[in-house]
Amino acid sequence: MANNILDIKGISKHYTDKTALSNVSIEIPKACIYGLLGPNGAGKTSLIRIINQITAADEGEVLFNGSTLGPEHIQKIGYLPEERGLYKKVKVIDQLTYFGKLRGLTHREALERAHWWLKKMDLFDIRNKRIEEFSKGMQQKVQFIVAVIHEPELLILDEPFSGFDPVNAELLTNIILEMKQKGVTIIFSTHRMESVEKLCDYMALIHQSKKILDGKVTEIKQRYRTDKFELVSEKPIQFNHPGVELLSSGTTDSGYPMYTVKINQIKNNELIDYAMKQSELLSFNLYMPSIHDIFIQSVN
Amino acid sequence: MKNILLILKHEYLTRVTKKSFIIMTLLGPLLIAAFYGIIFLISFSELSKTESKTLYVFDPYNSMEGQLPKTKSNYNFEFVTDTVVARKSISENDAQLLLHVGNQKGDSIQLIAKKGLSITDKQQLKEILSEHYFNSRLNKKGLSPGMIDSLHQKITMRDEMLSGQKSGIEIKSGIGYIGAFIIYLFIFMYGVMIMRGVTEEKNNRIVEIIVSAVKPFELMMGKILGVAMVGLTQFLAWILLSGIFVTVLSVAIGANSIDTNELQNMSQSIPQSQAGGLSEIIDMSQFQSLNFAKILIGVVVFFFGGFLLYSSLFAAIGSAVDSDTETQQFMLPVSMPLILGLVIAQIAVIKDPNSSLAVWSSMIPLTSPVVMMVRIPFDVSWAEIGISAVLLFSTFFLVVWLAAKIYRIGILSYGQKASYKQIFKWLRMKD
Repeated sequence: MANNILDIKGISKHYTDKTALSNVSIEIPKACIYGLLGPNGAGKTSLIRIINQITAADEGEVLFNGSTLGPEHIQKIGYLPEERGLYKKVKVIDQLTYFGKLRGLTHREALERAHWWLKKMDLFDIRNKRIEEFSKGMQQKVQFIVAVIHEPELLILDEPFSGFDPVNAELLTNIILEMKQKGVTIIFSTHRMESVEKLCDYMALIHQSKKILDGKVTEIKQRYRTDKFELVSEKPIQFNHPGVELLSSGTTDSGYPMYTVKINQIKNNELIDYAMKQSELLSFNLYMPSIHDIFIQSVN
Repeated sequence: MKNILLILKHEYLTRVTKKSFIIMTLLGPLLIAAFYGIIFLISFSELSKTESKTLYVFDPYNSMEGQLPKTKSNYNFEFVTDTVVARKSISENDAQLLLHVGNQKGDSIQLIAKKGLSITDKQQLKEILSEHYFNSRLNKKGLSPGMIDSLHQKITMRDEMLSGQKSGIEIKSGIGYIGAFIIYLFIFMYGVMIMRGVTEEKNNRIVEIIVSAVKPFELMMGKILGVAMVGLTQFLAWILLSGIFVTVLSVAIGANSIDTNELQNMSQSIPQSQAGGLSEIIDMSQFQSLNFAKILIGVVVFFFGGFLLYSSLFAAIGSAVDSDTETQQFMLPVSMPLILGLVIAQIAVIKDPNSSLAVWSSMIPLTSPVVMMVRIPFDVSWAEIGISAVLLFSTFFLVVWLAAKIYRIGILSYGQKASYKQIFKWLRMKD
């Protein structure tokens, strides 16, 4: 039994006038939330389309649960595309059962699950309405149900939070976490780096058709920690220590001096000791790089 | 296959349950009846319009010897001796014309009207005048008007085939032409419906979800077949409703009990030459000349072959563009062969269903559905039908293969302005 739900091995995809993916390899473990990061146009959607078997890769292969990706896996994958789309003039319930059946459910199964999800999403009372009468947020919820109605093992969400208000974003986050608990693997594609930090266990950075970084989110952050600290003190501090480099200084909103420093070959505590001797410390933080910083750093 | 059926069912059900479909299906026969009613009324009122016109005849050579009838059809003739007064008069009145006879023989006549005149006027007057000259010359040779009348002869001609059966060309032309027109209408109405449907799915981005579950080819075929069923449903409903409509109407009229004698009187009042043609068309024995099995098979084969061929082209167009307004440039080359087929059906086939133009265009796949439909009632050989059908269906498979290629890439290409160059690029692309 393979540990990875997806093994993407050396995938390349060329269009006539540009390369969308070049030699990208990614391993996606089971039952995790995997962030696929990169700016718009980096190649994320091309990769997703290959996993969805909408297009084929020019080179490389994709393994699903250890076997070559094929038509039999379509029913195990759910997909929420970035550009959302539903039939405007078709009733919600008919729409959901249609998509469920296209993904291999029987009519009865599709109907039962559609009902279950509509209740969960608080849309059950309007199941016989047409999509065109819905607000944008409600349409997004229906779209999400389309992606999950056949209970996929792998759920691919392309920019899932765009168009959701904070309340529904919270609802969606909880559902995603719940699904992860049940063993579903979720690929979360976005160009908004900050949304990954909260949710994702693993991530891969794609930039200009190449993978430039991947791994566990906590490990990546650890790898990119910079030994930078942020200090706020009552009184000004002079940093005349060979192991301490002052990067910037300023004041907080409440008027206290604030410093960003980097330590070289000394322990954290030495820095604290050195600072404490000069002033009462109000706060002392290890400065963790954000995914955005990591992205900028690795692109350079 | 399962997916095609699923898509077919979805396309069919969502379309036939739409309000607009139900309304069109119910109102269709009424609209068509109203349409033909209006055409009939317009042509009837135009033809029966007898706005009388005054013709001033200036005949300085006295070629008519003053013997023109005072009125003929809706023209009143009046001899004048002075063109100046006549010219002044016609300059003030549109319904006045001046005939200026230019020589003694009467074969050079000038016709002057304020703003020129209609082609009907010109032709009618030519006929009236040449008949007048002809009769008056015969008269001079000693033939009385009664004798001239008796020289005219009415001919009845029965057309038969070698087998002795009536050839029934009127009924054959009628059936063929109606069949061709229905195919033409069907392809346009429902082909465009397919095209719109594809563009809508592409615009809504629904297609991305669907093609992650089914093959683009399955989606395309499901759509084409689903819409074909919608079309058949609508046509059958129209035929049924028209039947009911006509029955109800004739019962209602029957209750008013129009005297059958009256009808006979009416038909008798129609000039003999026309009445002969009319009764020939109504003549039921003509139906014996029809090979019903062949017609039925031909209709089914060419109806479906033509519809499938054209709708796959329409589907490809729909997938290549981003909005309905962009379809125009691609619609023209697709609709042209169809219109050409109808024109050939109208001109060549009616003239001679076995002319080389008719035969060739009933073999070439894009025109064959329409043209063959007109030719089939004229007992086209099975070999010809077979060759044409094989050509039609092989072209269909080729076009479906190409259309599926355009479709597969086109439906996922947004924002690129569709052009022929772009489409050829797509055709050369691999998966």
